[in-house]
Amino acid sequence: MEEVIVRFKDGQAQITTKGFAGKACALATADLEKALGKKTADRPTEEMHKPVTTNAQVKS
Amino acid sequence: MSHVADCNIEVRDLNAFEQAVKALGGELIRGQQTFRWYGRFLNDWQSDRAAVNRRDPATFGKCEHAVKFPGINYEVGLQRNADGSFTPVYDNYGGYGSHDGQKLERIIGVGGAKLKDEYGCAVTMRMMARKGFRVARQVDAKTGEVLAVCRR
Repeated sequence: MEEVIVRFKDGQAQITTKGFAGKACALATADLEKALGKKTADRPTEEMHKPVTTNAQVKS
Repeated sequence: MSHVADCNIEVRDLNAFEQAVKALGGELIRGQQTFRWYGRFLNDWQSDRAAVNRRDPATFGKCEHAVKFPGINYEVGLQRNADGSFTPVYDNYGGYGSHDGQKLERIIGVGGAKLKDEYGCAVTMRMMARKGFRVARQVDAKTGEVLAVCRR
């Protein structure tokens, strides 16, 4: 399951994500970051470095 | 006395802003073109937060939409910016009689910080719902943080 939790306090926002692999996280949250304002920090999780599986088939 | 402050919020989604106002117990009155404040600009508040640093005091008390909270006389006005967004503006002066800007500020937070948190939460929930997430607003009882929880 993909999860995005955004915490708001004193006018600041912190986005935490779970269950995304590779760039899927950035894709899911890009619009959000743009809407919420200037990014001040970014800490990638281990999940970002997991291999991404797709349904694409390779023909030889 | 007039302590008119402008909030560091660019409101681009009026429906999300309305949701934020409701979360704080208020009501957005669309089309109300004035908001209640001290009524006269006396230039007696020297602060970075003072709206006069960024806005013409002739616009104080004028707006395109207003926010009212039950039992509070002073109101928040939404003033339109050149880029089409809105900025909330309010007078934080007074803690007596009809001059109750301090009460208003306790609800929306200093500089509208609580309003900004709720607006951010509402924007997040609406945006993530459009991406197919199930969304919920929660409040962390320990920290007071407002959370937008989105899952799919």
